[in-house]
Amino acid sequence: MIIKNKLGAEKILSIYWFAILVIIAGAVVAMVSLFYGTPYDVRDAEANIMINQVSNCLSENGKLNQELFNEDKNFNEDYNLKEKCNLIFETEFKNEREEYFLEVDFYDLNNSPNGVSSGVKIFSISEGNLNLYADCKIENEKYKKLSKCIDREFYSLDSSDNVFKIKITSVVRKTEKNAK
Amino acid sequence: MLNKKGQTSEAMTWIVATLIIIVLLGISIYAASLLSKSKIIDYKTEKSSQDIVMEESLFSYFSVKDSAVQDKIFKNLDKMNQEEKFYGDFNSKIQQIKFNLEKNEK
Repeated sequence: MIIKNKLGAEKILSIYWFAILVIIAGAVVAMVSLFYGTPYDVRDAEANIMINQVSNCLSENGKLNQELFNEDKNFNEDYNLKEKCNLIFETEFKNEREEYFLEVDFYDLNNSPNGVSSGVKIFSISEGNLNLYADCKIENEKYKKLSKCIDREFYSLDSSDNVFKIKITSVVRKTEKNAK
Repeated sequence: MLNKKGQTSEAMTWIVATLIIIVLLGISIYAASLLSKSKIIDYKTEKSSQDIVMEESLFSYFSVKDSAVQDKIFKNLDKMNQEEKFYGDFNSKIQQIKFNLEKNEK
């Protein structure tokens, strides 16, 4: 009778251990898939790299690229930022919309009414999907994942040593690939 | 009777142990989900040694001949540095460029 009872207890115990093993294995799988299933969000780096590329292309050693100006020394309205700065906005996604937006604003600091600090916006170039720019204005925490927006400013001179403040806004969407 | 009491206490031990295991696993899963949310490559902290945009501003600052304009640019750059808008070390970079320019002049 005692032996029979012992055998039953051992059977129940082995089922219990098996259940515990399954629970632990399941939890480990869940932990690994949770961590490695979430993609790295590289949009911040991507937006910054784009800004570096554009700043490097527009200005070299603190002097603005001469191709930005026409023969009358005014800003060239036909300047193709995408082409001149070797920017490729095509992605592996088959979306109809573009995943990038770039805007470059030029502020004239010489003829500024408030001095050098603010400047007057005299020229602007933009490339990509303008609709993405709206995502930058959203304050709601829930929708902050939509697009990554980075703003950076720098100073540069033209051939006549006039100082310009250049503000580059870089927006990267690619939400599906970078955020869950 | 005594045997039954012993069996009940043994069962309780196993139930408590199971609950502890499940709670620990739950905490681990929650920690993994929190860690997964921090998988963001921050360019500012990852690549703080060089800042091309800041360097462009510094080159133009040193190229300006008008000292009044130069002072104004410096004030703005200094303000940007205090607001931590630069990714690189502003003070060491300005010293480095200054040193190189003085070296070239000699």
